[in-house]
Amino acid sequence: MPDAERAQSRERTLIHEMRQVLGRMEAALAMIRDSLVITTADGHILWCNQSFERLAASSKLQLLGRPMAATLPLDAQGQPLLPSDLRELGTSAVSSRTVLLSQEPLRALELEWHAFEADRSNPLIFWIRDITDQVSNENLKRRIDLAERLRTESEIRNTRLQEEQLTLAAKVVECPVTGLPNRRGLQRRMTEALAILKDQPGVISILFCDLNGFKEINDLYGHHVGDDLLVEIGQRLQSALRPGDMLSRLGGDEFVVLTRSTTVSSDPFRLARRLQRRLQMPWIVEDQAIRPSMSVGIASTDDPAMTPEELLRRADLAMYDAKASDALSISSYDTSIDTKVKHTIVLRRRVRQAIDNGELALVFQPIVNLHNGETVGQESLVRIHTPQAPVLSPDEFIPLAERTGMILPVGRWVISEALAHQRWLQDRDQPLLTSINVSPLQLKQEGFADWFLLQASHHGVDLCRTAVEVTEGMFIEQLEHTSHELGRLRSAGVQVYLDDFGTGFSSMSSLAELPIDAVKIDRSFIADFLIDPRKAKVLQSMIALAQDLSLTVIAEGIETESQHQGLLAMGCGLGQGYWFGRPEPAALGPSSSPDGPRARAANASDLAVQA
Amino acid sequence: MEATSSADSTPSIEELQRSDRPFVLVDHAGLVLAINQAFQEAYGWEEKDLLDQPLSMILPEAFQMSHHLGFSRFQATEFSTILAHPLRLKTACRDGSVCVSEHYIVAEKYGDNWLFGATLTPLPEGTQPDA
Repeated sequence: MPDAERAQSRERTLIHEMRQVLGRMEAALAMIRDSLVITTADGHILWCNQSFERLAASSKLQLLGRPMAATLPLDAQGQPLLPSDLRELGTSAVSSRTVLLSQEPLRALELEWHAFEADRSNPLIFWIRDITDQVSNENLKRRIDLAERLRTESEIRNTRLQEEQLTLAAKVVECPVTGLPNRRGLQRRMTEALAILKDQPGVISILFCDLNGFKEINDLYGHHVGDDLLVEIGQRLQSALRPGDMLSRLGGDEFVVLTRSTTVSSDPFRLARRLQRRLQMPWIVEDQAIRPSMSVGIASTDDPAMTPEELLRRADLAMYDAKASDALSISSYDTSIDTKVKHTIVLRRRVRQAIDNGELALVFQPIVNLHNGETVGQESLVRIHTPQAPVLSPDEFIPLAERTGMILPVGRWVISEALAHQRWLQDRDQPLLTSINVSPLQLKQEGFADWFLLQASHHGVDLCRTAVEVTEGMFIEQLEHTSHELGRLRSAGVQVYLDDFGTGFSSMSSLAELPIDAVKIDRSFIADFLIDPRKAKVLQSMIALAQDLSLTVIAEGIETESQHQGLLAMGCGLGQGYWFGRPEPAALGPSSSPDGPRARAANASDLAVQA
Repeated sequence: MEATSSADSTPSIEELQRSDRPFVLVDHAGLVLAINQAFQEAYGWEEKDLLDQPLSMILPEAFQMSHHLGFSRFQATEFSTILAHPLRLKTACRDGSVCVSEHYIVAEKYGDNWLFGATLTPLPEGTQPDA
């Protein structure tokens, strides 16, 4: 083969190989997702891959020779992505730009172009990427960042607001309702007063005043009436103070007086009495007269090292003691009050535990015919039997249960158990009547009588063999409601006993108006009538009056044969007491014989329970 | 050697060559092997201008790169979207003008090498190339 032919053959082979390589490259570039375009220096398309055909929505044959800018979609603002003459893009070798094609749905491209500087015709190669996903993620991230920043800013703003509120609150020393100094104002004044004690010896006293029954007034008449009453009380208390005394309202129904004297004296007590008297004048609301009352706890100190908090705590404890103690409702702090309060807390816990753990138990004390000693009935009484714990005296836990409202669950349990016991007696043909104590709080409950009758029906009890024992106080507080509820019970056959007769405030003349069947003469008359002729006369009168009114008379607390005989001589037919039998658990059965020895083990704390 | 046509139902290169339309024959390297008289009359090119020259000479500049790459891709993949159906494409004339013609291209393989034959029919002025 001549050299020329050989050279030509080599060239053809080389061209063939080059075409193979170029063809593979072109096929590969057709497959990639990014768009590739080669243009002339001014932007006319010389070549593009399939991805660009899709982007431009045209075939390659349509695109070749056209200005690239004209083949691209417009951006989100309707502007061309590239200038029509790409020489305006500048002379840098590599450049790029990101363009937004649309907001909704989001679509974005990144354009990058290179100039073939070695080529004299200066063609450009474009690389176009769809970065929608990337932008979406970035957009999402930006939104999250924005939300996070807003949240942080909001938190900072809230914290600042809270701080400002606290700062503002710290400046507020007045109660908005009464205009009196509030707790903060009081503490400030107490701090000042205690500080003065360092230079000027004297006594600082705190009178902690708590209104009685204020919640009921609020509930009954609404908070606007309650607020008016607080203003009125503030004015009344203020008018009873001496110059230099300070009245404040801690909140709710609590008022506090700060007073200073030169020596430890009875001044604070007298001031407390004066405040109580000033308070108790009737206040008319909605044609009803309210007679406000309050309990007062007093704490005094001459020690400048005493903290306001401690002095206030002591007065508060004394007030707590006053509420639970005497009729005056005034108590001065001493160290025993701390002990008493702790004891009360323990007691309350034990009563609650007894209710929850089923540690309540009933005992029954016989009521006998004084003429023949025959048991005709029995009074049911509640006890708490906590294993491995000291016995709780009913004297302790019943008043506490009354004060705290725990008497309601206790009372419901007592009624249910007593009725069950009555059914037990009926089933054994024992013709005894069971009496059940009902507390004032229980009787105040709407529908009490209906609930009682439902329980009796549930147990299948003959209602003529049941009685409820109530006290005079219930008629004084709510005569109409009490009479209505008891009337419902009586009309169903339940008897009503007036308990502790003689100790209440009702007059003998009002006895005729009460819906009752029997009176139970209080043990205090029975204990003394043999040695106190005046009590004997009163007792005789009570028995005679009750009999004149056709009421049954039952004497309580008979502990001796002499008392038994004395009552018989006065015409009293029924009685109960340790002389005839102590309260015993039901399993022992009711006693039917007046065997005196049990009377010698009398326990004065075994009171009838106001269940 | 028996030729392998790009599509059985399509006319052969020989049949195209026998027609009276402008015809061009190209080898596997893209070099012009022959043109007929009708081609010379229609586009002004003479055999001495084109024989052994790249076919891209009769293509407008903007199409040349794409032609080379597409031609090469067929060599490598033996797959084409332009064969055996009429295409309206721009053609460069000897005088530098460009006109739109209907191209009909077929490919036949002889041994390892492809041979391409095409008829080109000039279309009236103003005719748009294929979309």
